[in-house]
Amino acid sequence: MPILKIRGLTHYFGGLRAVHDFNLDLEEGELIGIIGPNGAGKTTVFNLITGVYRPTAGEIIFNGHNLVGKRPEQIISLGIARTFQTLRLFKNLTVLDNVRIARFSRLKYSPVEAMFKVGNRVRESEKETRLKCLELLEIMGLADKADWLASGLPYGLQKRLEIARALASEPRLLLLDEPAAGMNPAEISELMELIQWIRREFGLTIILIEHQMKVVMGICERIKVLDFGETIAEGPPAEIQNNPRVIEAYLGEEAVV
Amino acid sequence: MGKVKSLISAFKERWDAFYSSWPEPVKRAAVPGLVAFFFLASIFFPAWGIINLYWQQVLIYVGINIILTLSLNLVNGYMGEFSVGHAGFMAVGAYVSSILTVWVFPKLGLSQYTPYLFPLALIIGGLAAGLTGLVVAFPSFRTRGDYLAIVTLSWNMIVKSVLENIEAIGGPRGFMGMPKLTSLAWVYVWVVITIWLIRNLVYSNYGRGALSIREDEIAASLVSVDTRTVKIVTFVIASFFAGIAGGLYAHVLVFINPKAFSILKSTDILVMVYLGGIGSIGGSILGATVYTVLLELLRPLQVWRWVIGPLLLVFLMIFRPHGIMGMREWKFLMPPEERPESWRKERELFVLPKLAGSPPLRCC
Repeated sequence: MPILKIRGLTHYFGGLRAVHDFNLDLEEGELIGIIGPNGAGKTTVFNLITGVYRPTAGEIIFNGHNLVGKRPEQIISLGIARTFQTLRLFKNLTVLDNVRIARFSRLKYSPVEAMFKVGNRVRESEKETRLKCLELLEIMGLADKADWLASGLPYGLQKRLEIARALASEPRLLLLDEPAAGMNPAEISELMELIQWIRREFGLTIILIEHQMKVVMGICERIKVLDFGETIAEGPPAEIQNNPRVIEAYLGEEAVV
Repeated sequence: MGKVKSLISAFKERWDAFYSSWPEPVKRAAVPGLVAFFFLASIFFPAWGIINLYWQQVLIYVGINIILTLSLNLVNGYMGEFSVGHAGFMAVGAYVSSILTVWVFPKLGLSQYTPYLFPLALIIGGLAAGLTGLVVAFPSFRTRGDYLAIVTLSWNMIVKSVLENIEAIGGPRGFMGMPKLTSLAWVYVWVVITIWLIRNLVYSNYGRGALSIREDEIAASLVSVDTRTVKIVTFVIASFFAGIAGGLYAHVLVFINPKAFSILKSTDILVMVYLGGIGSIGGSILGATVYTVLLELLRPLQVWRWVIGPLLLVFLMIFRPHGIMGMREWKFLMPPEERPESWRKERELFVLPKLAGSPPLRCC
């Protein structure tokens, strides 16, 4: 049974058709890429999955739950996490706080208990959160900067922090929106290793939106190509590279000949 | 300006060096010890006549303003929403607790116990304010953006006109007959309770949810923060404390009228929040203290002192937009386990020994 099943997903912004008839069957443990020219609707697909937009039509089934109509925090709590195309860290909070907030849905106490700090429940829960997140920061090489403000980190580390924040909620499905944007070649190859490492280590299923062909072709098992909201091709990297419709979408019609 | 800054940092360095030389038990007992000392002082200094009646009164207002500032800071500073009608909730607390001490307790034959029932009256007043907070929060947080400011503004006006039109509680003439129950010690106790409770909240993961709403609401909901519930709960908690402050205020003035809870009062609280700095407990304490004492010292200027408040705000926005200590905190106000040095200790004790493996990271 696929972990994520999308059928006929369609979304309009007013009269503009952003995504049309998007279908996907994602098996547990897969790593697939979504590519396409700017404005093809890639990020919109992520926003539809995570409940930022409500789809005009179609259904999204994650792990047996219908996601359509659910609020973002409910969807995330089911075991999906994402990063953003443009960094959306909590800039004025510390690195550790950024990661800890992602465990909000795992709170085991009410706000009133938090205020009175009665018994050990709040303390234990807070300690567990803190240690789990410190460990995650250690893994991601950010632990010595746990008390820095997120805005004080260099760009590369901010990107890594965003991945750490996504991992903190212990997701099963990870949506990465252009993780390699703005990186130099050395950082990109490191990122590729990182993605494969976390996938193996945390048992993740990953969907990756990316413009860097090196990343997509290098680590994805399957690629979907969008153009103007339509799926124009789907298949393993080697096949996609030679697909005339994909080349047309990226390079224009003349290039096909 | 630069000279002052270097003086402050030089003082800080010396203090840190001095503090780190303390033995561990002294460090741990320092804050509770100070809290206890000030508690005893708040009882005995007035009794021994060390603080005269006038300064007692001023200190009581400082305390009440700290509670108001800190609770509004929870909404405007920590959560980044914009509520402008805090005096409305204060009014609810003031009137409800006054009705309890003036009418309900005597009617139940509990007149002689009223001083002991005072905390109960305050809490019921606070709960009533919290309940009205819920009524305000529920519709206004359905939408995003500046609606909260409009709703709370009109809420403040509604409360004032409702109170002015209920003849039973004096209407515009005001309500009186409360016993003078608010003493310096009581105010001090409530200030400590408020600081402790709000500190615990903002340094818990629930409170961090509120902070994340200030930083980026959409990102917050996309890392599983239930933004709507957090907003409502935080707003209700803030209203509760405003109600407590209102109750204390009514029982020190022993006379309240609706005018005292107008939009001007709300503005005062806003000034104190932004003067002290958003998202900071220490800032709220400083902001409330500086503003209250300053206005008191400027009393000889008569009407002109009302020019100082707004002027202060203008200069603040120009020279120090973050307030006295926006988003920063005194270390002693943070829970011990939330200080970075304790994180470093935990990292060495618990995290590093059992680390299974890490990905190949070369850079940085």
